[in-house]
Amino acid sequence: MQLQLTDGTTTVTLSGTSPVTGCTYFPNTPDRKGGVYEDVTETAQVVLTGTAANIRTSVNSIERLFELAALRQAGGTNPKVYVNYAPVAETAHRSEILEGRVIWDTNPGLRRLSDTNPTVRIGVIWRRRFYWEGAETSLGTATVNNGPSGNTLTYNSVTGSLPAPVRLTLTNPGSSISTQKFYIANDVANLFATTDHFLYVAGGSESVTWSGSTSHSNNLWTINVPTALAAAMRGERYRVWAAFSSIPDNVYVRASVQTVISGVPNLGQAGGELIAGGNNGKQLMDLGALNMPPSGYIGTGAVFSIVLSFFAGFGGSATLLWVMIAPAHTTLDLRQAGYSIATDQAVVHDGIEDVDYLSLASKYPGIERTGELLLYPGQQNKLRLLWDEGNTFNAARQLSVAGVYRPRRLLV
Amino acid sequence: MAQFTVRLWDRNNLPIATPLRLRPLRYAWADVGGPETAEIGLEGSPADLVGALRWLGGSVRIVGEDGTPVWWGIVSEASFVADGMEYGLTLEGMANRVAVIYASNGASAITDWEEDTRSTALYGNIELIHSLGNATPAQAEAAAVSILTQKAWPRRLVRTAQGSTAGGRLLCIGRYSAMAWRYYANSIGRVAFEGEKEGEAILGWGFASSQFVGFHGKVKRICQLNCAMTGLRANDKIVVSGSTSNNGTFTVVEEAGIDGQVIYDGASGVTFAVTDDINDSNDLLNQFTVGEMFRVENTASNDGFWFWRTVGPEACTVRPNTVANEGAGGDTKLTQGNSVKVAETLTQESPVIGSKFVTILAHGQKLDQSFTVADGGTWVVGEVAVWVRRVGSPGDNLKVELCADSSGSPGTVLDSATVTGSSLPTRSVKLQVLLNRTATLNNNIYHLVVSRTGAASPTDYYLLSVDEEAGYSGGQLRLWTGSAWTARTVDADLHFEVWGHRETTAIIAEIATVYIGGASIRTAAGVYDRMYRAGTKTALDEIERLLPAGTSLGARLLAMVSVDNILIVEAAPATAAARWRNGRFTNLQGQPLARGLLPVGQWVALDVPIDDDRAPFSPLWLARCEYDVVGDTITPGFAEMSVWQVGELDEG
Repeated sequence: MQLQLTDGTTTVTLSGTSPVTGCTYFPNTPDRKGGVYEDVTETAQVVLTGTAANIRTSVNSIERLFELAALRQAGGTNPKVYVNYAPVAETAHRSEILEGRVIWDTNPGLRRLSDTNPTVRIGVIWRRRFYWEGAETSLGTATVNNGPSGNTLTYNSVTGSLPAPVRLTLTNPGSSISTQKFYIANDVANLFATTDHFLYVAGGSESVTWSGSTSHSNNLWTINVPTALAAAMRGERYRVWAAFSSIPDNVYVRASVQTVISGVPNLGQAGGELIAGGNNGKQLMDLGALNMPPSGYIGTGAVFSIVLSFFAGFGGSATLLWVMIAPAHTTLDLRQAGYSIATDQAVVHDGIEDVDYLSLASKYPGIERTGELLLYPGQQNKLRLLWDEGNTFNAARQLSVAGVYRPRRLLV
Repeated sequence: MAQFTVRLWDRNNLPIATPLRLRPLRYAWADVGGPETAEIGLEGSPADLVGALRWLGGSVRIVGEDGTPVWWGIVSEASFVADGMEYGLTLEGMANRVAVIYASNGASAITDWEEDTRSTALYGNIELIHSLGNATPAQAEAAAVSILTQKAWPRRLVRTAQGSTAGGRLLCIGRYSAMAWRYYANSIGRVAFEGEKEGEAILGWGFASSQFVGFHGKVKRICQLNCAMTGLRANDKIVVSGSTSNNGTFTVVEEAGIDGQVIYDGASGVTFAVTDDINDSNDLLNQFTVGEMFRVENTASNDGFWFWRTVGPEACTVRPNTVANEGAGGDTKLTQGNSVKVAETLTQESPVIGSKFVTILAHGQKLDQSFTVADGGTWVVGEVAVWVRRVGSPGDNLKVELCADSSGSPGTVLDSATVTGSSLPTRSVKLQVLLNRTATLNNNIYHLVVSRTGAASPTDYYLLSVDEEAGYSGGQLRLWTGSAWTARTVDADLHFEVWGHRETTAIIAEIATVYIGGASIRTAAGVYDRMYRAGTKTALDEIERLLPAGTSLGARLLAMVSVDNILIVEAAPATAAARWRNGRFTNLQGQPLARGLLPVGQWVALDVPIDDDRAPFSPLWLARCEYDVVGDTITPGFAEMSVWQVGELDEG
């Protein structure tokens, strides 16, 4: 057995290094209430033999690590403290310690420090995260395109038993680009085939023109969800992104889900609005999340459409490239202010350490993040990426994406 | 618990990076304004928590578990707990720009803004107009400085911590309610003049083709047997036409002293003696007045028109000296009218029944007050006001015209309206006249022309209030003589107001653009209001006064601040868009909405077993809603309104 407490700098081995002579420990299984796992409190019984000073030094080292763990939980920025454990001779798993304490044994004979070279027993009690993390595992590096010609990364060999965060390094292989927003969605259920998540206007022109004004009662683009896909969708919320090759400033864009029966549209659900143009709008627009189909799962034969509409007090025209949809609950949004990313420079999302940054000539903490990206063990994990460059969208851009994760398990 | 994210930006819109963990605790939406309040918990080290106090005035956005923004607004209060006490700062009650409104010499006045520029740079403008009551300008200015000193920086909060032993919290408000921090002023769209000295200008006085007008040359009186001269006042000018020798313009210097005719009928004691004597054995001639014209009827030799030279009870003398001797008759009749004295020389002239028809019109058949627009704007006139009263019972209308300028005179009529003359009171009042909004003004000279639609009358006419100190510098009052515009004898200016009108939704858009960042009007109100604002009401007060008026079709107007900080103004929907089921909102088909997404400002259908075709219970209007993020519970605030109102709506 390997059992260590460490913050990366100080390591106390509880499974054998002097003055430790013995240790009894086996991880507890976390409780689960309301679908949420609870932190785990457990105890390692450690036997130490040596001088009182040595024993006291070891105990103090453990207590200092626990103090650092508590400080971290109170908002400190010191490194996390982990318990590293392996039941056999293998690479250990780690679990973050939240707090802990050391107690002397209740048997006076096992705490007689006044003896010469005493043998004592202590209880090392900690509260840790409910999961264990394995060693960092590379998911490889692949190139993705910013659009229908290949924006999917497939991570289908994720191990463990729990969803795990991922570190994605999004490296620019081409000339400098000033990216701004990145959207990364995980089609965990592999609902969409290679390019099924891109939807196009059927039987209509992608370019529309309106005169005078237009409102949301005017369906500018009606995008029929393919029958097979519609039959597989179960009423979950799906994020909707729309890419335009041209769109005027100051139009308000909205996505809705509608059922069209005999040419008569029936609004099922509408999302919020985004304004295009100025500092807010752009050619790639995140139009929020909608239930698809709005009725929930109705099986084969389901027919519904995604409708895009504008509110504008003026006439104009716009050209829609496509709409991309992805499950909403597994989406990560990254945003940087538009700094130029040169060749081989990168945007890094490190879900393992819960940080994001720009990796340029130096590392810059200039990334905002919303949402959470998790990889699901035993699933396909098809990551769909889109990114814009401020108000513009360029489908010809590419990124080289390297993925790393630590498998998460409840038990090791 | 749902996974929510909080994003923060400082007042320069730069993202705030913090090691603190931000956890939304609860937030609320309202149907007017959208995001209303939010509370966000802070977890982290005490040193970092203190740093949160610097976030006041910054922007905040709460993002729901599926990436959809669910609340957005401004940080208005930040606090943290230490040693059982809560310490914090709040923008509530703060004011870094202060003015004082006060009364001085019976008039309202306001000081210039006193500003703490360091505070406004950090927190933006948070304004306060303090009302002081009666004060001198120096007192008011001192008060403004004093109040600014007290309020220029965020108010400190020190209180016993309630319910938490560590951490901190942010209280946030929506940008809609933050409009209460600013006062909205618009100097465009108002031209007005209210002088201090009251006078009245006569409008539409006169008569035509009278056979009973005489001119008393010796005493410069113009006489009229029916007492038509009543109403003329000193300094009024009148134009005489149709006379033999006295056509022209005359200035009244003395008003008529007699209101009604004096009739001595059956004057059996009256005798006549050459060349100018009239006597009365009954001693009743002293009811007449020297200088007035009178008519003698039913005599053998003296029927005609005469002017009293001297008057006594039993003996009088008259002009002209053509009285013939004649004894008393049983039905002699003497009728006296009235007269005004004029400044100009008159030629003695008597009426000639059947052959002489005299017309007298006062200057002021129309009034023209020119005025200057100099506010730099272009605006549509929706309303004018004058102070006016009627005399007698005019059977016509008062007409107000707004005219372009044509070489100093009224030109093309840009807009006009009429008011029924008989509806006006006999005591001067402010008459507000709504126009048709066809006149667009910009920096130029225009004319406000007031006239009557009917013929002039000596008994039924109008009087308009004027300032006889002529204190208006942007134009002048002129009177229409019947053939030309001329200056008033005593220079004056009309008391008047000209107001620009704009559609209420356009005003809301202007306010929101300045104080929120933008506006999108989805439903034009079709209802208009004055565009000028003195700046004594907050932007929020102004919008909350305009919104309830709704649309001209009777629809309710909603306003919601979007995630892009645009105020969306539109008519309230007529159909339900969500459903309330088992403590959750779903779409109409029953699929749960994203956690924390609150369909406020929508009709919400209820899954309750209450159904009555005459008074259906569902849907209900969701006027307000609070979401407890920690407990994942929703507290809907359905509007209390009649089921009959609800019954007119369609659930889908």
